[in-house]
Amino acid sequence: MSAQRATVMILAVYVGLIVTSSLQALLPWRMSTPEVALLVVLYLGLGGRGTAPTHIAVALVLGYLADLFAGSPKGLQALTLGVGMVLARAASSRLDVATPWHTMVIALVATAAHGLLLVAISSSLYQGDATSALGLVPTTAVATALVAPFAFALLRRLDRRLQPDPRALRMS
Amino acid sequence: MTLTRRARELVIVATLLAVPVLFLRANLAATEHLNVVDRAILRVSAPLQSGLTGLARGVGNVWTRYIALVHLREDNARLVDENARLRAELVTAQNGAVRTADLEKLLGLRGSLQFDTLSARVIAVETSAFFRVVRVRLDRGEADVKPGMAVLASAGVVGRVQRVFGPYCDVLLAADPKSSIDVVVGRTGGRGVLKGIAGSDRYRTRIEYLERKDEAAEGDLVVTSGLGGNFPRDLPVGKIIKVDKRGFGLYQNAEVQPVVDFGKVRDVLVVVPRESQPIGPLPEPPAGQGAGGDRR
Repeated sequence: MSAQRATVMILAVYVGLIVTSSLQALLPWRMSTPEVALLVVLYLGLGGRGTAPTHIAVALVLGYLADLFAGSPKGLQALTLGVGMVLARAASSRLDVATPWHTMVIALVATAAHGLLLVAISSSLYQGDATSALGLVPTTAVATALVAPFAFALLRRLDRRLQPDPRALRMS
Repeated sequence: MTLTRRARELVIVATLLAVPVLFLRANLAATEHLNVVDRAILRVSAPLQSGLTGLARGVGNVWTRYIALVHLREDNARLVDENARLRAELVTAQNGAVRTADLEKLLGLRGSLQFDTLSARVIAVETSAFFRVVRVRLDRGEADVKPGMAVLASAGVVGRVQRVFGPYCDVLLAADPKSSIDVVVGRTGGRGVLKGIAGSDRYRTRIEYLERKDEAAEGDLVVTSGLGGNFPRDLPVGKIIKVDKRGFGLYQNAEVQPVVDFGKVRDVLVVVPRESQPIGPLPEPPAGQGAGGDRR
């Protein structure tokens, strides 16, 4: 993966986090926010382009940003997204993400797994009440799954601009 | 890919994954620490969030006015439009009145407090459902605000400052599981610790370590105890909606509905205790509005 592509993906997550938090501030009702950083990790990991170390490094930076914006302990989402990237890369040859439905199902399952991992690692923060935090997992997974096809389409667009040859993209 | 290269990649991946583990071990307990890079990123991001929020509000206003002014060809349409515009204006005026009333209450609260406060405006709300933090823009800089300081809305307690960067800070909501606030039940005087409960449907809190002998009941007002040094006494926190005395032991649990609707908070006050003036009780509230007036 080129440095340019990595930078664009990191900037995309940065903008996504800003937009998500700002729009949430305007809405009169409370809603679960999609896991923007996880979507980019899934996109990169399932796409399979680039080496594992570069992908993990990008996932760690995305996790760092997610931690910073969410106010979570530093390293928490960096670790979960790093693990997510490893798993996404491992599954990339077995999963088909050709249609929006595929994308939604994969995002749903991945976000649920990510949420469970997040709660498990940070269970000490929930002071013995981690089970109630688990209630957040389904709604966050659904919110992320609904946004996933649009996010993937946007990221593919960005990728095409960076690399005009469509044969270079495995997920067309 | 050769075996050597694969092994080398595995070692690099394992090393990279070890980095966040080490960071996490160091930062799990203290999330308020920010280094130079963190500060720089947050200081750049906060104005963008503020600008985007302002822009979206502006676009919303323009859209409302546009809708109210189109279709002016015929008298009937004009009258319908005028009616719609007047209705929209009425809604805007009502919203303005609500906001003015809210600000007046904040001003009243500010005047009644025995210590300094800073006004602040909410510019961003939680980016992760698992961590309940809102970002506010202060009217003064980081020299005046420190982590741990109490944050109030006109209705009551919002939370406490988690971390500060420039003229912005993150506020840990009282509904976050990491939050704990020393409180008393207004009617009985029973003390406990208010903690947040994670949940997707609404913001929830509960009182822990509330002695079983304290006859807390649904509808009881919960206020701050003033102990712990951050929150002034007698600030409304919430109302008890459920008391759980199941099982044995010294304590009972009570679920509390916060008085502040965290999703709708727009303006807040940050309590800045003076060195020479420790946080003390509020002046006696008017009859019928007492936060803890009927305490036993």
